[in-house]
Amino acid sequence: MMNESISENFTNGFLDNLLNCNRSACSDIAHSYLSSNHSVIQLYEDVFKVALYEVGKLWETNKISVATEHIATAITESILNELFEQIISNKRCYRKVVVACVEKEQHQVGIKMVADVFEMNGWETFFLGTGIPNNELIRYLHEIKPDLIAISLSVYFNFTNLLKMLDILQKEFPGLQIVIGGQAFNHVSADMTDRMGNVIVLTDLYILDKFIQTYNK
Amino acid sequence: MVYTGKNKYISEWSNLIFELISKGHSVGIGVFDIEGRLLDANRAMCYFLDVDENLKNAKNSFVNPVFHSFKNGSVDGLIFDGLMTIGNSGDISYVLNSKVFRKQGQFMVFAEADVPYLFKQNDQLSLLNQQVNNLQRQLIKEKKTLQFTLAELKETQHMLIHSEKMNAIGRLVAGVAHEINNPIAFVYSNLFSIEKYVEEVIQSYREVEELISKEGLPELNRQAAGIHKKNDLDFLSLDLADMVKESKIGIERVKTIVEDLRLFSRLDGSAVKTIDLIENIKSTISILRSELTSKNINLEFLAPDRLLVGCYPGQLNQAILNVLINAIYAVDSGGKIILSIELKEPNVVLSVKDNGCGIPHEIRDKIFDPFFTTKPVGSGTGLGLSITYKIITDLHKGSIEVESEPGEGTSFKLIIPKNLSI
Ligand code: B12
Repeated sequence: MMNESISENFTNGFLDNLLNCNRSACSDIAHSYLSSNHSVIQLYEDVFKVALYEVGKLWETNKISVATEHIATAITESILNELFEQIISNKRCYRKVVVACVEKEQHQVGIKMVADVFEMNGWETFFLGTGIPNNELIRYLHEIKPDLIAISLSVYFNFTNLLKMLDILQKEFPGLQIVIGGQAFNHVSADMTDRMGNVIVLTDLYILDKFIQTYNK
Repeated sequence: MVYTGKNKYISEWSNLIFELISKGHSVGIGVFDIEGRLLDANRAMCYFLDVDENLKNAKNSFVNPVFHSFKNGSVDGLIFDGLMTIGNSGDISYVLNSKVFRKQGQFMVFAEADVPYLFKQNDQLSLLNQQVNNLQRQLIKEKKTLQFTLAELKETQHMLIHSEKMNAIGRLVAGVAHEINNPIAFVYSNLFSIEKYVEEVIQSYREVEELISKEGLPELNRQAAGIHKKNDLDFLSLDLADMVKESKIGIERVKTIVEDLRLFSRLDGSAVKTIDLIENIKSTISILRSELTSKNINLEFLAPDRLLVGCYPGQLNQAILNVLINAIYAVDSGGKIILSIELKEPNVVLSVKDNGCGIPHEIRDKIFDPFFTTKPVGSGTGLGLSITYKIITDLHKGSIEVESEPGEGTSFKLIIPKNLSI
């Protein structure tokens, strides 16, 4: 309980400063959250994600513009970059993961966090972000030959694009382990994802972290 | 999209629209007198000019075109149409799509933000920012990769310098060993003859003395006893035998050292063979049996039943033997050593782990140096691990990993390719 309310304070402060476009204050909050004995994953899940979801609600209820949404993500992404160097683990495990969004998807903060969790566990990550057409992705996968591909889907309406993408991937790389996640799955029933073969759906970074650790063994 | 309708329906809302525009944020409307005094303005124009509630004290003005230029003509109607900059010399200015009209000595300025353009620009800037962000991330990643590579290179350089050093020492040692090998060989064999001869001489002398005491004249007997006593022949004969024995031990040690040195410098003698490594290593362990039992050491051998490996069998035995000898030396009586052999394609890993005293941090860098030893003077040549190092890295193109915690133990991993190609 205690811990939750501490996180809440940080999250509220973070959100206020996101909406006021105060990057350096946001950065300070992130750093002091980490130095008060929280993990990077906690920072991502309990501060960044909660604040950005709140930003989404404010947009949904017509209180802020897309421009503000843009700035909120820009600030968050800049802090992810700030932390990135210290996140990269010195213990490399020589496994490769390509991290990408579904075609036409523009939300890349979640998948960037996913890449970071792989990086923390010593993986070589190849972050493609948004706006990668399927054929480019295929070409890239042939070049990199990853052990795994992680895909993110935020907007539910892009679900057919995901299915199309999985189809292509499974034809082109039959053995490739695919991990998918993102908030669109909050709206998808379990049997819908059951149909997807060698695909695992993971909901958040804590679970992803556990998954990678068992995979590493 | 450009709408060219007649606004037939919209015009019916004109009063309301007028009211909304006067409070709106994106279209600025202001009326000025001939001197440029602001007579009336809607909310957006107040914002652009940054005036107070009485329309006074404007912090901004028309920067381009300047107000003055409006007064040039005298015809009523549209006198300016284009991009107008409103601002001051200090801040970033507003650039607006504008039209200026003149009527009876007054000017109406209509200045609007190009909203579709701004939205589009905002999107593009966000996209650009996203790209810059990702690029920065990529740079951080590449920097980290470079750091890793640099660390690895340093390690390799360290190893190269070491093996270069060993090669130089190897050549020197080969020369010395070759030179002293022959003299030592004949000193060694002469010592055996000397031992025999000394015994024979002493024996003969005793026989002569006996003969004299039995059958000789008392005078001769007395003289012989005098010589015996004067030269302390009892002591001499004992000491002579001791000295020969000690010399033999000494020369034996010199021989081992020279043999080690020759081994160290000429490791390329034999040929690569495919052998069952497990059987090979078992024979090495049997050499150490007596030492293991006398120190009550538990040696655990973990290995597959059979493992065919292409290597220099004799040398590989030597390499692992040296590491095992060190492990035996490091553990206390009752200690434990685990020797394991594992196939990790394309390599074979031979690992020796002990729970002995460990290697102090300060000598970690020196353990592979020739002649470096922690054993008391006289009991080790200090060549064991450097021979192992040469056999593994030079001869087998492999590598050695050492992990050690003082007080807890040491682990040596000898990693060699399963099939050595030459
Ligand atoms: C910022 C934002 C944007 C930015 C994105 C910029 C950028 N650089 O990413 C911009 C302005 C581009 C944008 C655009 C749009 N957005 Co928007 N956006 C958001 C907002 C506010 C935050 C997104 C975010 O970063 N969240 C924080 C991250 C950390 O959360 P996450 O993505 O869920 O990721 C977490 C988990 O899901 C998981 N995860 C994610 N991916 C993966 C993958 C794997 C393999 C695993 C294991 C886990 C995993 O890990 C993360 C940590 O737990 C959300 C609100 C919200 N609820 O998220 C709306 C939101 C996602 N957007 C929405 C919409 C509708 C849009 C638009 C259609 C309309 C608009 N708002 O303009 C467009 C569509 C663009 C497109 N085609 O994709 C809706 C989506 C509704 C839906 N689910 O269908 C939301 C939810 C807003 C809302 N409340 O309605 N948006």
